[in-house]
Amino acid sequence: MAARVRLVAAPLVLAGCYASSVVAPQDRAVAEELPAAAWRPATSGDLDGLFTSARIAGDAALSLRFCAYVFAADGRYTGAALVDADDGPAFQTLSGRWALAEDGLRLDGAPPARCEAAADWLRLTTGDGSLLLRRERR
Amino acid sequence: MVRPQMVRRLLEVAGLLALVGLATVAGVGLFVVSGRVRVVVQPDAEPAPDPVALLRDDLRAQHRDLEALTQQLGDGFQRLLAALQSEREAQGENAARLERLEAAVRALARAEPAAVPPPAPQAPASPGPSVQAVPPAASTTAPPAAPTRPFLGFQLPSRRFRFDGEQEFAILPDLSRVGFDAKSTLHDFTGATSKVAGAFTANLADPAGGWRGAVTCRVASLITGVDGRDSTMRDDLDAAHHPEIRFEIAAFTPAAHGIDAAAMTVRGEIRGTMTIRGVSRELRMPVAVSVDDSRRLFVEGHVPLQLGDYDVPVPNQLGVVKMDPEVNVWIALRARVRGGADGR
Repeated sequence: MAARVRLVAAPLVLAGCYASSVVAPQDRAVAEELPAAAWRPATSGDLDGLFTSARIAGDAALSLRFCAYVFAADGRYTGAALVDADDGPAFQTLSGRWALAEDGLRLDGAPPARCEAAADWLRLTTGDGSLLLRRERR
Repeated sequence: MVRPQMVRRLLEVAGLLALVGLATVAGVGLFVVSGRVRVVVQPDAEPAPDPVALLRDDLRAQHRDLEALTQQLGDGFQRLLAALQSEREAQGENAARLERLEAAVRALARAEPAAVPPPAPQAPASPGPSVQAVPPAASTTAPPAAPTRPFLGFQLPSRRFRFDGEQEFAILPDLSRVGFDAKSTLHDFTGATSKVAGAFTANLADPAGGWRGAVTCRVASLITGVDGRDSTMRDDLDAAHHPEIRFEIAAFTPAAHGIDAAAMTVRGEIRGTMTIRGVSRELRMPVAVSVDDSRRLFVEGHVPLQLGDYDVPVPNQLGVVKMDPEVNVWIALRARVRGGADGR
């Protein structure tokens, strides 16, 4: 009799110690890694290095799947993007010179993009969307 | 009587006068004739030229002329060939440009007025970043180019998100998750996976919807956080013989006022066929659909499901630790418009 009582009581005791592991409804979606740091206007030193896209917002996201930039301290840059063209995905590559001015980042003759930095992140914003870039340490 | 001296004197005078007269006539005559008379002194006649030498000279001259003519003709043909090639290339470029323009016009004509994007600004010709599109290796012909717009140096197809119109959406596995919440006498838990795949077609603005497609997940990838429980769950779901859980979307019924085109949100009920452990049953799941700032569709919903309806054994440990036969199945999917502006 005592053994049966212990057998019944054990789960009840365990249940009290064993917390629920149900995922809350608001946590069901996969969370995207986004920087929590405050954004500030970028300086030239923030751009030196390799960056890959972490998130693309705006209508540009309808065509641009992924992109990467390498900004060199001497003012040169190169980039590559995977673009969903009408006939399927295709890579684009580009190269040229970059400059950081008061109106933002200028890639050769392209319109300026607002350029902000936060730790190892860059955020470039134009009228067609914004691009969140993460610095790659490789 | 005339004296002889006198006669002689007269004769002398007359002779003198005659001489003067002759001299005068001669002078006048010389004066008159001198303008019309040219004296030419001709050399002695040359010896007759050698006809063989003349013929040789003629042949040499003709040979030189022929060589010059040949050279000129060669240069002329070279220039003509270059001009023809240049013209042919120009014609090819014009034809390709015409094809692209025709394709662009056709694309614009297909698009609905609300979906027609504003005229794309011309790509900066110069100065600007040198953009190169890397074509696929199998491509042999240049496809017609759609209007593009620059974005941070790249040339992107000019597209805008369309809330209306039928489009195909591809599920993004890395950003999607499906799962279930279960209750047991020991404690409640969740099983979930991101090994989700599938695609569906929908017209978000259309109450009739026309939703169709399928979503699948891998049974073996479902985890609850407890290894032993995961193993039991896979056995109960017979993962070895039925490795996938599949939901075939057949229709969508919007809720009252469930379509908000301005906010780009949809609420309603998806109807389809759920297949678990090889057993298929109709399932209706209320869902909420929204569009995030990355122009991705976010679909979330949940519905109670009886394990017994799909012949899934309800876990039971010695009759003491028992699991509730009803679980709450939920989805949190992100999907991306597939292909080009026309939903391809």
